[in-house]
Amino acid sequence: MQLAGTNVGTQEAVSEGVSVEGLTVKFRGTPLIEGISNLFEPNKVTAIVGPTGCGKTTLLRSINRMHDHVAGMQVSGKVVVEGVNVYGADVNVREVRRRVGMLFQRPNPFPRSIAENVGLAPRAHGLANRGNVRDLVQEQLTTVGLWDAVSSRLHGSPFGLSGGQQQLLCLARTLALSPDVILLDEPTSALDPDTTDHIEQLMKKLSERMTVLIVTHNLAQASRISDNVLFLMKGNVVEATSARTFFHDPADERSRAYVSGRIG
Amino acid sequence: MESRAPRFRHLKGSVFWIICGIALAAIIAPAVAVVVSVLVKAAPELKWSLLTNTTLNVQNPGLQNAILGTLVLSLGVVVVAGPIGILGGIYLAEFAPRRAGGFLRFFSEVLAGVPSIVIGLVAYTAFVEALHWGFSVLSAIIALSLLTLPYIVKTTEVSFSQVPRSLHEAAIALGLSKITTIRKVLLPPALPGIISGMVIALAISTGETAPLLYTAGFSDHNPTPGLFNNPIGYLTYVTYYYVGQPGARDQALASAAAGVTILLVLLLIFGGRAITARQRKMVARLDV
Ligand SMILES: Nc1ncnc2c1ncn2[C@@H]1O[C@H](COP(=O)(O)OP(=O)(O)OP(=O)(O)O)[C@@H](O)[C@H]1O
Ligand SMILES: [Mg+2]
Repeated sequence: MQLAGTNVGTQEAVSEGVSVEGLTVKFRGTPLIEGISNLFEPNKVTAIVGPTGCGKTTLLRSINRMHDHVAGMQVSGKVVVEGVNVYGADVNVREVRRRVGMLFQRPNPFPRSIAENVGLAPRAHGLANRGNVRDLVQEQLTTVGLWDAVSSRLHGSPFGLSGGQQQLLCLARTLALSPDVILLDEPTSALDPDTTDHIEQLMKKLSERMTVLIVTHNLAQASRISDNVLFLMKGNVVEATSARTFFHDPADERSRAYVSGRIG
Repeated sequence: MESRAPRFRHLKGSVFWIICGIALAAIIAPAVAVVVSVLVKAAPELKWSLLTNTTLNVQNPGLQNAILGTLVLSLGVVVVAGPIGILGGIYLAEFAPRRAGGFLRFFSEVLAGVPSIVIGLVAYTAFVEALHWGFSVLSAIIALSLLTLPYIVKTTEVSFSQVPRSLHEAAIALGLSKITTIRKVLLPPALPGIISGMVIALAISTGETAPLLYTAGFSDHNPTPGLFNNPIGYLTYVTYYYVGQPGARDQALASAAAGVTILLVLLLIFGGRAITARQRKMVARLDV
């Protein structure tokens, strides 16, 4: 699979993470994030934190080009995934999205059977066929720890599952495309503590084989699971550092205030 | 002022409910009245020979040719207006740039507003006369399709645009193509609405007379293969024509035809509901 016309990032290549360079997103001329640059290290969990409206979601959605589908959004700058600028001229956007998975705040399973939810995208991308899609479905549902709960109702509706189970199904759906990067936008904010804990454990484990970016309002969660922290305010980077430094000895006064709960 | 407010609100509340009740009655009462009065009048005339004899039988006229004709014309509407209307609705909901969309919606609304007799007249001038198709199955099907197309387009468009944005986003984020997204993700939740639209279209085709007078002509024989120069019978014509005839036998046939028309429409509505109920169950709790 190639991301662009030129052959870059073969399957055996060491993951390069995600590098954002001078990224600006404007909505009808008004900047939402301004000239953000950062390297999201490969095989690490990076938490994106900051007060509400600071541009966390906007940043996350520029990485898999979700803004393409919102009228009035203009993106400039570079987002480099596995050596390829995803905003480059000859980029295959669908392949970018195959490699960069996204999990949303609220579970949004497709109105199809549980099995089809997981198998649909791999079939569409030619990563699975009728013969082996069932194995893939089982593998992914097992990875997210949902297999035992749903194995007897694979052809039933996903809307009979609990909210937490639905979110795990959506995670399995995303993982079924073997992404190199996974973007999570407050994935546990609507979930119970047990499922939240379960998803946090999964994130740690998944970071062994992919780059994980997670937006969260929950600083305790960020400190539990993240290796690095990107702290934004008003569309700008305040501090980008290791989680350890951010939570114990941040360089910026505003980070100190945010960590101690005085901002946001 | 302060102390009067709750009482005033209470009064406003009751007025609101009374108006709602009147509105509800205004919908239910005529529907029930029409169905009941037609069926009561038709009931004594409903006999087995209606299904086995055609209007050609002078001694004991039946409706076989008219019923079959109505079914053929309805099938024609499904085949012609169905795909065009559904694809048009999908285009409007998912693809149309704003200008083109507005343009198309405008013409669809104009078409919906054209009286059916005018559509019949235009179809007569264009197909029956200018193209020399004569009174024909195809002219009739096209006239009915023009009449029902706006409903199919509209219900399809609305059904698709009511699918939650979160499903579009999930599909985009997985890199699914637009076509796959429409077929596999958006169609299941949109389907009940589309089917309802088709049912309305079929109910209209079953019940219309005006556009068919100029295009279908009428035939006392059962439908025969052939789209051109081939008049065809249909139920509403029997009501329209025989109700104006003097004999008691003719009056009875008119009542029976009206009753069968109403029964067919009811069958369509309940059939449509049965089909969509299963589908709705699958996509139930789609409140994401
Ligand atoms: N589709 C949009 N149209 C217009 N403005 C938008 C849109 N999406 C986001 N914004 C604006 O961009 C700014 C950043 O929004 P964003 O959603 O990225 O913030 P956030 O950090 O994710 O906030 P939260 O923590 O509340 O989720 C906000 O001022 C918001 O109003
Ligand atoms: Mg957000």
